[in-house]
Amino acid sequence: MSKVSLHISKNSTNAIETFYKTAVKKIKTDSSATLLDSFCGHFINQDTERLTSVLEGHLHKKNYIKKHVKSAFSTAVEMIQNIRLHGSRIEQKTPGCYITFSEGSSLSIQTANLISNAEVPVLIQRISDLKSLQNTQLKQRYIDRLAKGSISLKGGAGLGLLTILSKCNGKISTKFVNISNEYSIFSMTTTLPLEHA
Amino acid sequence: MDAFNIEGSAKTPEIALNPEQGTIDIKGRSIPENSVAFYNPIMDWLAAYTEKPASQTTVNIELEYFNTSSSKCILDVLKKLEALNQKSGNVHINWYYEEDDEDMLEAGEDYEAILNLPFKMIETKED
Repeated sequence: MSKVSLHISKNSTNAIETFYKTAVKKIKTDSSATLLDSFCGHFINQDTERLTSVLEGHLHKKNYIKKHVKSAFSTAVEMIQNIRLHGSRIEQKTPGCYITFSEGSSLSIQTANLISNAEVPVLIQRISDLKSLQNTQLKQRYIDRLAKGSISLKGGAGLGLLTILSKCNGKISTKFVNISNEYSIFSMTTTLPLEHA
Repeated sequence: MDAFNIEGSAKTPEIALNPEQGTIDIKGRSIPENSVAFYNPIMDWLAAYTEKPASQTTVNIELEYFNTSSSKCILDVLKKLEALNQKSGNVHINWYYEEDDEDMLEAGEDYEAILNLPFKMIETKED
């Protein structure tokens, strides 16, 4: 391992950690928000099951309506797997963070991961394009993609963002933070309804 | 030809493929990271089954959740059965969804729109 790659690795991981700490602090100091779960580190396969079962358990315990619990679970699965599939890998590791918090009758799920700077304009365009679609157009895009698309080498079906947007009914905010000549942090926050049964 | 079974887990569905009865059951959660690896043995089994199928094939899909990469693999499974149906005309899909789970009902309807297969949407009550 060269000193340069170690430097990049450390800087990138630190940048994600700083982003995570700032986001968690903001939630904790917001009296109307309740932090449910948070994780920052290198994402591995088992994280999908681990993090989503915590979320599901919490929502069931609070007796939210099943439809909302299911939407939250599905959205969290896609967002976490999005990190694993599309997050930049640094020395075979995928740094990222995941935060869930509730606010009144809504649940927010926030994720962040690294992406190469070259991918930023492509992703901005893709999200903007999808956000401009009406629900029926989004649905049609999903069916077209499902029918004609194939699974990429990374294991994605190209349907993740479409599904996330559809589940949260377009309530998604994204942020790109440039951290070096090579990488940016891509953060996505979805807001979903939560009503008691 | 042997039956093929996979126990369900927190991330993968229970699979029961019975060549004598002509039943294909997929039940539970399908959210693996690597859906292709999970569904490949099922595709292999189906390839052999469609060579010598039962007189009638009944497919029961009762999923609680599935991720987007599984959705593509499930479509591949159904496409294989669509080809069998075009040959034998005796494939039926039972798509189960929990009451109030409009998303799962819609998912079944999406497949029905893409494929030329007879789908029956069956609502189930919560446990």
